[in-house]
Amino acid sequence: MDPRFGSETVASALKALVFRLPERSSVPEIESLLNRSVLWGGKRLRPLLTFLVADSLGVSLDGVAPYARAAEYTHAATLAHDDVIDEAATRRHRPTINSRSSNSRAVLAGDFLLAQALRELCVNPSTQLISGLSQVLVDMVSGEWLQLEARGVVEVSAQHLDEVARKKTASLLAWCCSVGPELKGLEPPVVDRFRQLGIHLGMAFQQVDDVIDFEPQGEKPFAQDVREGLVNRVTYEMIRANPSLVKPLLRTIRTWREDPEAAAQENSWPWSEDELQAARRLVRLSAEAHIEAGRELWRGLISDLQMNSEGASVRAIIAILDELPRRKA
Amino acid sequence: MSAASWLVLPLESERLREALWNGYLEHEGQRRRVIPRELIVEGDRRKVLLLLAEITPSAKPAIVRWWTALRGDRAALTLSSSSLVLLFGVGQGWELRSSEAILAVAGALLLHLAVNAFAEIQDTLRLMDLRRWYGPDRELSAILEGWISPRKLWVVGSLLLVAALACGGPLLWKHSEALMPMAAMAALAAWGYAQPPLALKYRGWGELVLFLASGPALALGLSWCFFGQWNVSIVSLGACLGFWNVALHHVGNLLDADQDRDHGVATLVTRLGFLRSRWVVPAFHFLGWLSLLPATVAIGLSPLLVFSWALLLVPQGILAFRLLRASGCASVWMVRVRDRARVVQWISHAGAIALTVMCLFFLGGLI
Repeated sequence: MDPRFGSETVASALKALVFRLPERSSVPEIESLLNRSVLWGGKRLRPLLTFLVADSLGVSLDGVAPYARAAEYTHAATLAHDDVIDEAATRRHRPTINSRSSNSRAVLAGDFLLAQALRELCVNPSTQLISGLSQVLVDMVSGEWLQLEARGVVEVSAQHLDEVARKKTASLLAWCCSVGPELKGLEPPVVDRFRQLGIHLGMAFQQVDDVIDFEPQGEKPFAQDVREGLVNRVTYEMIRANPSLVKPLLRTIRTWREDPEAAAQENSWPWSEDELQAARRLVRLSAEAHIEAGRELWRGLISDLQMNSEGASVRAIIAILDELPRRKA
Repeated sequence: MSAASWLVLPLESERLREALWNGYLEHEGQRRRVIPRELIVEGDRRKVLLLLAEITPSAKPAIVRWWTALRGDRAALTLSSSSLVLLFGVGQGWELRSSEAILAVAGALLLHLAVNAFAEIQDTLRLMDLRRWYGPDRELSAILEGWISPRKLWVVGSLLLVAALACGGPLLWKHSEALMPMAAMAALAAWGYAQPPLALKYRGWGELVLFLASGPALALGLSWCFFGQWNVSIVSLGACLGFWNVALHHVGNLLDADQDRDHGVATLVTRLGFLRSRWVVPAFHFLGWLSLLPATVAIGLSPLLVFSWALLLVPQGILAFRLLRASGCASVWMVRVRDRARVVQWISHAGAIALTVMCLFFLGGLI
């Protein structure tokens, strides 16, 4: 068994977690559309993390399952909305809802998923977790808002990029890490430590994502963010090292926006290979800082809460932290 | 960067304090540069994740390093403020006392540099600059760059303070009655602005101290040392400079809004909230100009001068326009805004000097 799944219990709980919507509403087309797009495939990192943390604390996974589903539905809802904002045509090698149907329907489908998440929260309600997920939604919207402001702008700051990553990616992972501790009834400061673990995981995840964005043989097209008019951490580091990249990069972004076909044919980028590799190294180092902080937090929690350090789920979280910088997709 | 490694130390540990203070620590038999990277909060326990990097000689010349560490550009604004006080006094036909003027300007400048050094040290020791590790907007502090350790900076700051005292002491001795309030203000700024136990900068008094010390107190003190007198136009000028300086300082606080809130630092921004406090910058720029008006009535300061200064509201307005578009401190509209605010401040000072000189020598005087 893959060590990242922790114990058999977690693996089977994850397997039993059905995300497919039953197509039983009065407009089953919505569920069908969602099942064929944002709910199809994916790494399921959020439910996995929710289960692993809960299992490490000895919380029954039956009670955790609705929260794990709520996390994935929330994530999928943001993907549906993101695809509209990014005008994306494909996701996970499949057509996005907006390209299959329309922007309006994609927005409604995303809202539908948020309603599903709310419904899941009511199965085994916890005021803290409901309030926590509401805050996550606030963060995600604010993060998207900030990112939208920066579309087509090359001059961004690390503070901006960190804030977007914290709100858009890390906040939901932080909530996933807080589900088990909340259900176990741990004190708020301890729950906050789990949340911090999620924040560091999320920040590292996003930064590694930015590195992968420049992978020539990656899942997504090379430099997808630049194609979408966004500066990510790697681009930021390249600009910082060589400010003369600003103008050619702006030209590239404009070409991709105005004539994507011509830009794709031209397929030329303003940076050199050396500049790209140096920037990628710096961003990996930054991700490592978050991973180190995450490890330290996890070690502290293991010792303070007297968790079994040899437990499969405990080790699985360490394995996730170890593997994060090496992930390719 | 390849030889970087990590170390976690409790926030209260002596080893951390020493490492931050020295800028390096001995780790596995090697002396490594210390860069605080993350604050790890474990309930009531706090730890700091340190990046241990190789100590490599800086490529920057020493003068650039020290200029950055002492925030020389901001201290240089004291010189332009002094020039304005000089012009205002000359414009009113007051007789200049050259040797005392030189001592006063040198004292003010040295004191400003010392305050900057102490503020820089405290920002580092309080882990205020953690998020700036990557140097967004070319804002990386000289300490985090590894150019200068807090210990060295403290020694230099103290020497600057002693030198400032050496310049200001004889003046204070000679004009103790007139200069005592200004000297008290300068002492408060030097020891209480950033340094504990007062640490006024972090307790919500920073703006007021800055306004008084770099505005009316500076202008009145300099005017007395330069000419042995003052009047309402000097107070007006001081207030104007004070408002402008607080506006510049406020731009920095706007950028640090989230960080200051997380650290429990009280500033005008954390009190008013980000959106409302954006308006403080144009308001203070406008108030700066407006504060010249009393002098036009009280001593008949030339309306031509006062209204020509209104031209300076144009670059200040452009800065405000950018700020007012920002949705939060991480907005792209805040990128390099600190640099821009400094440029606007320089334009304001240089423009004010140029316009005053024009009124004084070509258009028939200030009064």
